[in-house]
Amino acid sequence: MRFVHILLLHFEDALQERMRALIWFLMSLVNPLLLILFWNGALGKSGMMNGWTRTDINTYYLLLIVTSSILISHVEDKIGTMDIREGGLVRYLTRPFSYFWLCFFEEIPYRLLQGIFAVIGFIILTSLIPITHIPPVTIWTLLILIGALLLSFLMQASVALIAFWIVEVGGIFDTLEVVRLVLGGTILPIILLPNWIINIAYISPFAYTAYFPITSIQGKLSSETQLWVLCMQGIWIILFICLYKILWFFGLKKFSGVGQ
Amino acid sequence: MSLISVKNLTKSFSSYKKQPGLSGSIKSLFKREYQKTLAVNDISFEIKKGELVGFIGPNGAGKTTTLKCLSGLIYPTSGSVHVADFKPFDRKNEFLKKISLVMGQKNQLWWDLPPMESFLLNKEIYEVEDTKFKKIIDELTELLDIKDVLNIQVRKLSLGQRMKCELVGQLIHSPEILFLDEPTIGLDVVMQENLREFIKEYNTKFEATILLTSHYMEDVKKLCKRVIIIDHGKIMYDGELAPLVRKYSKNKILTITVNKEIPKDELSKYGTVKEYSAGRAVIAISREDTNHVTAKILDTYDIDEFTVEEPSIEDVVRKFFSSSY
Repeated sequence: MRFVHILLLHFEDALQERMRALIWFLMSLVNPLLLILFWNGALGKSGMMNGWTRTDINTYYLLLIVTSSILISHVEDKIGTMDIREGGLVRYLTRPFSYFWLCFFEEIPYRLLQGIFAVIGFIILTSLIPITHIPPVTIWTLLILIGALLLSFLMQASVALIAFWIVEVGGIFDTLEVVRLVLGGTILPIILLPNWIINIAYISPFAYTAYFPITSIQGKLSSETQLWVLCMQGIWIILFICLYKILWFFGLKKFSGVGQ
Repeated sequence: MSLISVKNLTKSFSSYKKQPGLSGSIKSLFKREYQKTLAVNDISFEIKKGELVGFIGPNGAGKTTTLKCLSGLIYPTSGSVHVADFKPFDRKNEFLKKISLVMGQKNQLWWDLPPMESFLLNKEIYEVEDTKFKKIIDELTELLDIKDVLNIQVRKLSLGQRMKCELVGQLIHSPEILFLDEPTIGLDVVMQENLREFIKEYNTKFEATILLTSHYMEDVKKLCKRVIIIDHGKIMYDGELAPLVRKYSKNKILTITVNKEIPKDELSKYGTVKEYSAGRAVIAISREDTNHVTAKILDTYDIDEFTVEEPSIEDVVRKFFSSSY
């Protein structure tokens, strides 16, 4: 109950800042909509590429708007810059509650709020842009979505802890974001990339935060593939938990609380 | 038995030294020169339960670094720190529930929500029972006179109201040990006085141990019997405030208001005339001669009012530092 109360209190804060969630959602619309325009032009009359039809691609990008709003965390700047570099961590460290979970509870309301905007946007856009039929969400897909949310948060939080050692951490975040855009399937579905990039993407954690969750919703994954995706998510989640714990343990000794 | 025990605490920071100008920036791309700064240098002290100790010193003396080490925020370079039988940096939940760190003008409350929501969050975090929470909120808001602002957005509160709310937020779990870092900074005189009264009352009522840093000497003078003076990371003095005042202030300040004007030259016989205007004079008189001089002045002149005071703590500390170097 204690966790639920804390989460609900963070919801109140997120609702106060609802405009922030709306603006982030509107920003997340730009890229997918431009890419839909691009692919509709590029596919020409054939309208097909690697077995993906024009409406498949439309569906992918519109689902990308919803999933990236709900599943992709952006805590790296808060943890790395505001808390570690500028000393905001001070206000968490004197409290008898895990910093990790407090950050998670701060993040979840924003994901859900942006998700609500995204679902409304999705409904409006699908009345204008033709898409393929989306099958009902299965329990496997739901688990993949939860795995993607945890993995995305853990990955961003772990990378952000590098700020304990490196002052100019913004460059690392930007580089990681570019890699995520390509290997996560945000620029285009991974299956449409060259084979060697597909191989890298499949062993990287990024594909399991966007590409596989979307294709799972689209009904493009077999049960075996879904199980394999869940296993890969599990492995990456465990690896990032270990990385987070190690970086936190050693990094905290470097923390000087500058600026506070 | 000490509640806080610090032995040979040292904390150093490494920072890179950039040469001035563009050439310095270009050089730093290839080679950076790092230097170690000793923020706290081999300090030791002990504080007993229920003590209210003033921790004073100029900017960069090491006061805040020491408080951060005591509250487990930063890891000491060497030495040992024990607070209520805990090593602060282990940051055990039992330890964190016993302490509170209040930093003046640092906002820990949700900016867009009323303070009550932040209090409720702290209630959950510190696992305070409903009845106890209600009792504490009633008590603290009454003491600090902020009952009517509890449901107003924090961003709309005045600095004084916000500071009081910060304090309430930090006291919801009834900490036994309070680290107050410049709690009255930026507040007006009346608000400073209110907060001082509150700190004093909290100390006596809950037998709380309080370590207070402040630039305002009035805070120290009104609240602390014992002071620790720190400079360049070293403890320069640790003891009662009164002997320090006696040692570094040979004079007392006599202020008189007269019905009939007394020539300045005449008053100079008794001490150094610091201020002189029609009907009022401030004279620094020798501490040993205080009784004799005041008796003589009262006998000789038509005095309307007179007060004898200790000099300001600022003067004492200034003299202390100038005698130390």
